[in-house]
Amino acid sequence: MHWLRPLFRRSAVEREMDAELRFHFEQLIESLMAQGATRGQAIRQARIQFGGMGQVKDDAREARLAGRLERIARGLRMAARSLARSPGFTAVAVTTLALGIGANTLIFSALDQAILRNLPVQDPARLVAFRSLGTNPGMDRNSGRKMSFSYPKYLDFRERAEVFAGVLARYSTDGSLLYNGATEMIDVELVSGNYFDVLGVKPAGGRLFTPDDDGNPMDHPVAVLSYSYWQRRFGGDRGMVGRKVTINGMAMTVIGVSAQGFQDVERGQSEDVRVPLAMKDLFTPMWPGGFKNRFWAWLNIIARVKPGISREQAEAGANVLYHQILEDESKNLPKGAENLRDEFLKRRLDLLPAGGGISTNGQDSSAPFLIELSAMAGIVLLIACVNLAGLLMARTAARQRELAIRMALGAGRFGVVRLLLGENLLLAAAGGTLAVLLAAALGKPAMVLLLSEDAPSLYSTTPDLRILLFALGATLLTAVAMSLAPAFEARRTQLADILKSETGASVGRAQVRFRKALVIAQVAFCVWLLMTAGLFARTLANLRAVDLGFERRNLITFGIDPTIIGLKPADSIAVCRRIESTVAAIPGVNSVSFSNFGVLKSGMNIQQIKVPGYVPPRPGDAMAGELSVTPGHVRAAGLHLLAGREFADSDLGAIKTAIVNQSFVKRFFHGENPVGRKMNDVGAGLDNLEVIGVVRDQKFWGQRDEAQPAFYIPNEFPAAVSFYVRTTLPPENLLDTIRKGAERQAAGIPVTRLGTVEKALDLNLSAEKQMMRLAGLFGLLATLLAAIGLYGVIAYTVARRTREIGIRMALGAGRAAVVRMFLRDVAIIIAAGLAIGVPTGFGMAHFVREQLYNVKAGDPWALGGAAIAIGAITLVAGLLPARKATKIDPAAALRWD
Amino acid sequence: MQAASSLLQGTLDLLILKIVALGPIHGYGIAHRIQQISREALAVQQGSLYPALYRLEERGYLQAQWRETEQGRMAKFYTVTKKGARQLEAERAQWERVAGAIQLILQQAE
Repeated sequence: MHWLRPLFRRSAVEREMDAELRFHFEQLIESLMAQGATRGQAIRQARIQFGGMGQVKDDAREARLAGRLERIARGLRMAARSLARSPGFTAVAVTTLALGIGANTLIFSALDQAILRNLPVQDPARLVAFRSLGTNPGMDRNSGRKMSFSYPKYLDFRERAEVFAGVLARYSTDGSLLYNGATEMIDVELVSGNYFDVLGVKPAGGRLFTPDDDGNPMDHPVAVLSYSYWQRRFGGDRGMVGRKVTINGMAMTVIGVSAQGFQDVERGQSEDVRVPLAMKDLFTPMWPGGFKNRFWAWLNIIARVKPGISREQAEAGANVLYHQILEDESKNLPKGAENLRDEFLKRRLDLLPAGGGISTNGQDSSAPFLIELSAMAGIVLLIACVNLAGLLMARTAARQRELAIRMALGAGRFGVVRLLLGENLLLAAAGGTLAVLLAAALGKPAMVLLLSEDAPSLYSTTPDLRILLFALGATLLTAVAMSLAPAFEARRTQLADILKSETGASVGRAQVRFRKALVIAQVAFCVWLLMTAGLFARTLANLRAVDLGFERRNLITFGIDPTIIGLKPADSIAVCRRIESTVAAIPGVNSVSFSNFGVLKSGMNIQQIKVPGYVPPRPGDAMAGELSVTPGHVRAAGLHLLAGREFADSDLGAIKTAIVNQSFVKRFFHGENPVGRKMNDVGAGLDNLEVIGVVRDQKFWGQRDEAQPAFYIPNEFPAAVSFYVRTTLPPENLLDTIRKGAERQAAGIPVTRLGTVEKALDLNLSAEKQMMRLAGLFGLLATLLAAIGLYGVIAYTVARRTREIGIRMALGAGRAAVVRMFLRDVAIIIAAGLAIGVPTGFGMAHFVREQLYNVKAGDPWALGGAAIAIGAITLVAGLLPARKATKIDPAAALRWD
Repeated sequence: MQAASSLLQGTLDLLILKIVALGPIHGYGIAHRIQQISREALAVQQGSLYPALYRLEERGYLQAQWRETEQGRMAKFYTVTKKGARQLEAERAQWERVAGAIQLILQQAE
């Protein structure tokens, strides 16, 4: 550690050097005296010979600092001293950097986890998910994304496709798990036996499924727990392996726990328990079996492409096989679908990259928002860098004389660069450190804000190191670039000029111009951000005001699925009936119903129907949503009856009646009054239904939904249902009573999603809310940075022109005249920034068009609001230093050198 | 003394190493000895001597120790390290080659 000594024991080394030189000096005097000089003469002579103790020491020190490490440390020490001399500048620069880097790191970490990061499986790049667009005759679960396939098709691919190293199938559902007397709803994934092998997921305990677990239906009562569920529910108890738990009323043996970190193949989702596909009927009592049915599409297929084969090659290979399969299947199309044959044969198989997880539900979660958010974070980083550049440039300009003197004294261009580099790197490092602290402190709340309010536990809140390094790198680059700039600047300007000029006024002009350009750019960026915030604020307001087609106030819903404890349909209905009457008897409750469809939750069947007098444009293109509801539904759900009557208790039993919505009337009855008319062949054996009423279109899937044809049938649905409770009292106050009443009747079946519809609808807008909040936050942050930038430029101009102002004021110019001098500058900068920002922002808004609702990209309110907000804030920032200029005392300014 | 010719760049290190190799010696002593041995022909400025000493110490050619002088005062005495001795040999060989070459050219040109 000998080499570290000079770094830390600076003063000891200095003392030693002093002593050595003094010794030499005294020896010299002695020898001179020995030659006959008086002491006074000797000292004078020695001084001349020595040539200045300070210089000698400086040189000696320089030589001592030859060690590279020490030279760097010395540079940094000098830089730190220099920065400490201007604390205001340092604070602004470090804060700017910390905000820019911190915000970026957080947002990119979220983006990375939500979209970019691969599944924690073996070689995720070779995983592909199957999708096939086009007509599918027969049942289609998970229909939205056309990513479901039948079990026989799965077997075909698994056994016959040569391009894959393995093919797995899965179906995501839910169920109940009873252990130690407590029942809990769980997310269940039914998986093929090779599931874990194909993914390459290892067990954290026990064993995982093998192909042997694909066997006869209901013969494999085994389960694998996910690591997080194992931890959450069983506290990571190793003894769980081999123990029995009751899943949907059946005793099943826990055989193992899957690897930590592996949540689901579906992006952003998690599964609690995995069960072999063979156990399907336990979870799908409404549509049992189906392992032989080629037209029941329900399984997601994921395959691992063989090494050395590209995704395109695999797709081509798989399509050859797919076409053979379709050819065979087309010979036995289900009854009534024969006319679909040509359409059916046109289907193609797409292999989607699945390394990052699949998305089957049609909602790409918050992915698009995150991309925009990262664009915003990028802009903020850009602004931060621009601001930093401006700040550094101003500082260098203010130090023109100091630097010129250093160069004149022989510091050399490199010496000056080294000095600036030291300072700027130190700034960047301080900003980076603060950013890391910021990101660490705000990590958790920020992730909740950025990702999802209900499932933040899925995401890590630790900022990503690579991203941090990226942001840090960007600022370092800025710092380095700004350090090098003066070296080139110095070549152009004559050192002598700078030294001669009183204030360096002539030199700063080009830089001022450049800095103004930077501020203009910042103002333009701010317009983009604030405008985006404005657009989302408007979108949010519009979505909140959307007419959903039903009365959303005073409405409570909850879900229950009696079949998950293994109840038969008749018993299931009995439980629901008891809940219905119990809840209806609660004071403050107006009416109650239950349906297979829940607000914002799926459950509706899409049925092919026939209406006398209606000819579909294309064969088979006569689809409408079917909702099973109990008689009180129109009142309980708050639907608006437009014609006819609502259901009565007498409509229950053999289903003979239906209520249709407006879209249905428009589509199938050409807008004529349908009451009394008939519908035929409504699937599931329903036929000859009489239309008894018409209700307004209900937005089934949320505020952005388009109306779709649908009909309601009086039917007590015998499986998973949602209850609708219409209250006369404020619904929040009734939640507890309703829960108690429902749970008393439910006897161990979990009551889920109990809450007011208003809250659920509001939650449905959380993505828009996040976007607005963040865009607003970013916008304000950016505006603040731009304001600082503008303040800096004007303050600098004022300082440069102090003399001029003094002269003007001495010659009789009033304060207003002085303010006007700078007001022109400020106005030009802001106007130019807005002039660039508004039209480009108009163009940028097109990227978010998809997420807007009833707002045009060029919404004048959003644009105008952003422009005014930025204009006002920057105007104040610009006028502050101008006002300060009026305080200049002419006499002092003229004396000032 | 001012008239004495300035030292050729780079040769100062060689001279210092050579002098120090003769035995432990302090900075003033080195300057004095160089002047003495060269019969006043070479003068070493303090401004070059100490940076050179520190540089050599930094590179590990010299090591230093505080010790009492004959007059009973504390001074920093330098000695040559093994590495320094090797460096001295290398620089001396180099110097002789260059000096020989210069000598040759000067003779030929006559």
